[in-house]
Amino acid sequence: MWTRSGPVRYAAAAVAALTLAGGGAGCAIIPTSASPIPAKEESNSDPLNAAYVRMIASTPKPGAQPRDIVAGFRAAMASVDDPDWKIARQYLTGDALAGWDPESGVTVFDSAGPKETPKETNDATGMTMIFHGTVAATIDGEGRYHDLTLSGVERDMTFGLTKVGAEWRISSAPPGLLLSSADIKRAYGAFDLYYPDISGRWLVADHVAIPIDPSESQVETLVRWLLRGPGRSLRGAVGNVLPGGTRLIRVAADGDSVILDFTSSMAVIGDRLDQLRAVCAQLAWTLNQVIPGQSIQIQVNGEPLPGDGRSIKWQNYPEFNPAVLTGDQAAYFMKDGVLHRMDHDAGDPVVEGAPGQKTMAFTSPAVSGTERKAKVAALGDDGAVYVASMSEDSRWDKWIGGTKGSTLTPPSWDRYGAVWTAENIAGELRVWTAYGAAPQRVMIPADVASANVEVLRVARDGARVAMIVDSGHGPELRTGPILRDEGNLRIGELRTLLEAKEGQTILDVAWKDAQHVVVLYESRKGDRVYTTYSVTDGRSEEPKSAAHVSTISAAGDSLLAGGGDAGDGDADEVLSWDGKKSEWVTEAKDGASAPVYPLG
Amino acid sequence: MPAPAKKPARRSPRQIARGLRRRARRAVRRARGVWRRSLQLQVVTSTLVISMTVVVVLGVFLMQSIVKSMVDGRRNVAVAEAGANVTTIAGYLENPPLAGETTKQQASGDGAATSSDNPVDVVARSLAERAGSRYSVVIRNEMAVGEDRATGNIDWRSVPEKMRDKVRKLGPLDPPYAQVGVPLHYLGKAPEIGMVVGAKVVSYNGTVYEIYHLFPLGEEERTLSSIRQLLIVVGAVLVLLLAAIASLVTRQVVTPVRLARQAAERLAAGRLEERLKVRGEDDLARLATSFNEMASNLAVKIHQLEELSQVQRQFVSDVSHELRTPLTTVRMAADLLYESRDDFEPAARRSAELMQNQLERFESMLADLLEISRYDAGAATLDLDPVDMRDVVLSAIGDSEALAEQHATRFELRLPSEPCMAEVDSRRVERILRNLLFNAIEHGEGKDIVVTLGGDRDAVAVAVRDHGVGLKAGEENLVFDRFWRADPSRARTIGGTGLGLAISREDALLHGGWLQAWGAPGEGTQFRLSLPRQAGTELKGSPLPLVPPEVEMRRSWRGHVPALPAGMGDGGVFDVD
Repeated sequence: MWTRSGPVRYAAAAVAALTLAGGGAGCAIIPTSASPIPAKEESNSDPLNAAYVRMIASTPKPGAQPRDIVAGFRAAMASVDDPDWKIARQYLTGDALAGWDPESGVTVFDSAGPKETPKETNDATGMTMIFHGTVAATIDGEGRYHDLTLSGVERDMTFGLTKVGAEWRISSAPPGLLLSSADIKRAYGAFDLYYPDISGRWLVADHVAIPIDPSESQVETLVRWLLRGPGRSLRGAVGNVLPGGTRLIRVAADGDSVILDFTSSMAVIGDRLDQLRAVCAQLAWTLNQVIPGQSIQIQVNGEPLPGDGRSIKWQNYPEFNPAVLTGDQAAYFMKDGVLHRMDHDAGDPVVEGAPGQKTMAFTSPAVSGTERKAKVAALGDDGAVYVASMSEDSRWDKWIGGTKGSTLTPPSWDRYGAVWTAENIAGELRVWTAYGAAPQRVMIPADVASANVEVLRVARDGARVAMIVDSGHGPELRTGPILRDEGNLRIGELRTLLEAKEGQTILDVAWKDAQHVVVLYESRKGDRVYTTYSVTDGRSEEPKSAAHVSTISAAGDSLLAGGGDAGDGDADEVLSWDGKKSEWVTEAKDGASAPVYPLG
Repeated sequence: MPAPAKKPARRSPRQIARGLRRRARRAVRRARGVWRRSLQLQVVTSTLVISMTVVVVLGVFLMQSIVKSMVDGRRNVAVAEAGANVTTIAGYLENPPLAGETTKQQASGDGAATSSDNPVDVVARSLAERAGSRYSVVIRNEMAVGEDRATGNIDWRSVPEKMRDKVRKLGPLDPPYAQVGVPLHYLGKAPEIGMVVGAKVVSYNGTVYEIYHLFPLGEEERTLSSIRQLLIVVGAVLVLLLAAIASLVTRQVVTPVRLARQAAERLAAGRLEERLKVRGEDDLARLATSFNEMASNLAVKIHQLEELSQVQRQFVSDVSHELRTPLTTVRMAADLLYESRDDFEPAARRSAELMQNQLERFESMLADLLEISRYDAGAATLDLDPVDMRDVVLSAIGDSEALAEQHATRFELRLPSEPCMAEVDSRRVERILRNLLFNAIEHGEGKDIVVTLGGDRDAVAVAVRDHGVGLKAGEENLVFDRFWRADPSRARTIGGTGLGLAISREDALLHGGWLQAWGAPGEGTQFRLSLPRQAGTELKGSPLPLVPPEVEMRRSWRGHVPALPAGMGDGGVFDVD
């Protein structure tokens, strides 16, 4: 029989203690049995909180010199911490305090400019400091950046200072915000805001400069701007599918997706599928700039919106692409009076139908789309615009005739299937658009009502137009939106991209994508160059040589040119630009001319 | 027309408060009672308290060490990172910009830094890129205007002023300062606890930059918070588990003890056959064995004593009976001598008279002894009849009249005007009253004797009050003992056998009533007989006070004792049963 004798008990206790101690020592806290795994560096960037630098605005220091007061005021203007400009106003006094309106717009000076030459004039009442600088750009209240680097406008900024008590304060300041290019680079972000077009089937991009708001994420800022609707330049040219009065409640990251929570007025878009899809595309395309690869979820008052609103991915909305043409596109060119498709493997075949036959002599062809049987518009031998499809047995139909004695510009297609052209009558300009044989007159701004238009090109997305206009003092390149309110077509306010200069000839313009045009021009010295301009902010790229080129057509990064070769005299050629080697490459020889990409 | 029904009176707040207080006090009292009685509860409570203390102490210690190691680790990493950043930017700021570098940067394109950029912008941008969203950087420059930068949405006021003072005084080779537990404020975001590392960089042209790295510790805070929650939950579970274990273990011990207590109670109540079950061989089993042994020994002893007592009672009864026969003979002879006493010479006559007297006493003593032994044997029975108690009282008074006259004592009767019916054995009640009256006459020193009869719905009572020497404290119960004398030296003047009050009490008890005495030196004595109106019902109170009302009144005037309501409270003071 087992008894509770002492030794046995002690032995049992000792065994138990040993087991415990051994077990405790044997199993380490960090497991040693793991196998090697790919060590991905933990991303240190939160998509909702991108890294950026802010200027810290500081209040005027006691006893500061006038120069420091002005510097402090300029630093406070450049600071985004203070949306109401409370700190900046502490530098002001009197008239300046009452009259200074930071909302009225931003003048951007070239970084080096204003600092270099401050002039000080001291008199009994106070002090005046004048800074001199080159204006680099302006930004209006709607975020439209207007690049002025090329114009080289120089301006003085005059700050008047007086003493308030023992302290210097600014008594007169230039209107609006004065920022340097460095400030803009630091405190503003350049974004494309996308709005659905009038039909709601495509997106139209608007390029804006948006000040960073540190109290919210970039996603929040962009959605807030979208909710404000399109700016003045596009109002009427695009639709606004976001219900009015909607506000964004919050933005939250949820794993790989970002949740946008809207107020209840957003709920109505759930009822109309096409509207919902347009909203989703708009958000996806806009937010893809700051949160690429992440999906978006729309919520209304914390409740997910059914259907598409649950997981919006940019990849799901390719058909909304505002650039319209993507990837390698078939190009066309004229040779021997007929239209050829550029296809080197097939020997650049002649297209089918009327454009491929010598039934009628035509020039300046334009192709209506990427499909094989797209329509071709061209100027006929009588100067009218004829249209024929590239299918068998097609024939030329006269769509836009024009009045006697007038000249029509080469036709241009938009994605809605309309042909555009401008008619120059002596002392009057008419712009026509046609879906068929009955052209419709387009209203134009008064400042070009009597100008002469050499080229008119409609953007592929049909939202903007680019024209080479000569109002009497030389050709200049002007662009503007096409406003489509209830069927009435109107060209909105035109903006000059390339100003008229003496001796400068603008030869051709072509839409590269929805926001950029390629301009071919010849300077007074006779150098033919081409440059890419952004129609939204006016920025331009460095001009590249384009000797002997007379026409251009662009699609994305591809650029085709038609012109005479320098080597063998008059024989026309079609060239393409090789961006890597920075040189022109011959695509088609022996009289090939007028290369054209679909649309534009 | 009937009067409108009265609304039920609503209780005032004060009444409600009082009620609540009363209820709370009752609950506390009950809880205290339960606590005092339950060993299990006491053990469980002390286990709870002790284990809670231990768990709290251990938990706090554990939490502190976890927090310390976590924060230390984080701070080391943060300081290292900040140090590396500061070294890099110091390398940039301490050297004047080179001309060659400038052109190279300009050529590299739009996004890169250009020569016109403020160096602090370049530095801040590189720090912002390194920091991402992990931490924020604030650069301050007290000397120049427009040289202050912050990254991300940090509020630059998060840097404590004390820290700035210290950082400004840093020497060129001093290590940076770090401060943990600084609330970091953000623009458009809730504040978060964090850590600040501050360093100083002097640029080539003597400009002093204060570089602050602000690391949020929200993640650590959340981790620690969940660890703390876990610790609290585990601690609570542990304490409850320990309490449950203590309760279980105590029950194993307490249950047999409780059984033993219950057995002892039953044993005390007279159930001598009660025994405990013995299971196993442990201490409790041995306790049960000892208890059982004790119980059986006790039972044997009690049985022996009972037998002895029985024998004694039988002896007394037998002796009384046996004495009666010779006493009758002696009595007859004595009667003869007494009747012819006039023929005797004076000494012999006196002897005959004395013998006659003592024989009478002897006879009544024998009668009393027989009566007592009848009670002891449990042979006494009641002959119940509904009678008017006034008749019983008057009859007893009539019997005592002669003796009263001898002592020149007068009776004062206080009888109710209506009949006072009760179901009693009138012979026995009369005997009780007679005994009380004789007793009062004997000790009344010739003063008036007050006899009061009272009744209520359930009971009747007779109080006999004399104004004699009274009783000393503690004698109220002794008076009912057999053969007890207030003053042993005093001779018996009337035929008291010393058994009268004992028999009276037995009679009262047989009726289910009380016989109680009150007395105070110099105040006299009062005996109160209380009987239920209905035989067999339990007596709950007496219609008459035990302490005479005039005495009670005098006492309350003096303020010694607060007045007791008549018939209440005193019932228990001198209760003989």
